[in-house]
Amino acid sequence: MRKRDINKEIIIREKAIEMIVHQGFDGLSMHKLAKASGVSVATIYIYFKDREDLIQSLYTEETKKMAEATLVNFDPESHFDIGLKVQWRNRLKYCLENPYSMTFMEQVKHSPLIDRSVMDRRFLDAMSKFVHTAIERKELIPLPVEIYWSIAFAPLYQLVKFHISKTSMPGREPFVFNDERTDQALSLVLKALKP
Amino acid sequence: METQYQDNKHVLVFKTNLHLRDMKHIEPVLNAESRIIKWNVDLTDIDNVLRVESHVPHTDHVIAILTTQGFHCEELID
Repeated sequence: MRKRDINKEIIIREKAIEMIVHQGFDGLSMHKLAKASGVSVATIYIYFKDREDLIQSLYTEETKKMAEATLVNFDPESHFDIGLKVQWRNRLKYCLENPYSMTFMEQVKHSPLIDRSVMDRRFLDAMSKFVHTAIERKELIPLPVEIYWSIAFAPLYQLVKFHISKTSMPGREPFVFNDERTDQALSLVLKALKP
Repeated sequence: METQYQDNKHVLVFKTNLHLRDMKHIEPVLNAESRIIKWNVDLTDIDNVLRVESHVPHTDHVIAILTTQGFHCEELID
């Protein structure tokens, strides 16, 4: 009889994310995952009820890590321009340090396999407070949340995708993200969101 | 394979030939087993793994239950 081994669980999680990123959700089988993680199929079922449970659990765990990374040095009551800059910096750093996680989270966004209602409360509260305070202080225009997100963060994620996948628009040199380009894109975003 | 949690719960893992259509058949049989805390079959994976959480490591017994019902069931070894 053995106890749960946290290291094994971490390896299984890492390999599962890699597998989903490279081969899609259909490409993830418990057999292949066991082989890649150096454990038996039986071991995987100790930690996860079934394949669906594994995928949902990956999402919950990655969301938590991403939320924590996003909140570093972030003050929800700061001026909107300052707060958004911290958000961009934190999210960019997280994506560059965890490219697999970032791609996985993108895949999840459009998958019916995952219940996305289980978002980290602390993160949601901080972001909500940040936005509402900024609107009250007239540092940000009131917008439907989807439009706000699409303007405030989608440009960042698109540029990160170019950077990570070493691509660009068709026929162009690979795009490389740097501080200057981050500031350039962020300043346009801020301009669009100003009252 | 079976693993014991700290709270004396055992996880037993079996390779089976159970399919979605068989669930109705085995549900009452496994639910009636008092030593089983909960069970599920991973129908999305090729081994059709039956996962059983149990108070006791009664591997042979679970195999016997499934075999009696006409299904294939073997323990997945670590």
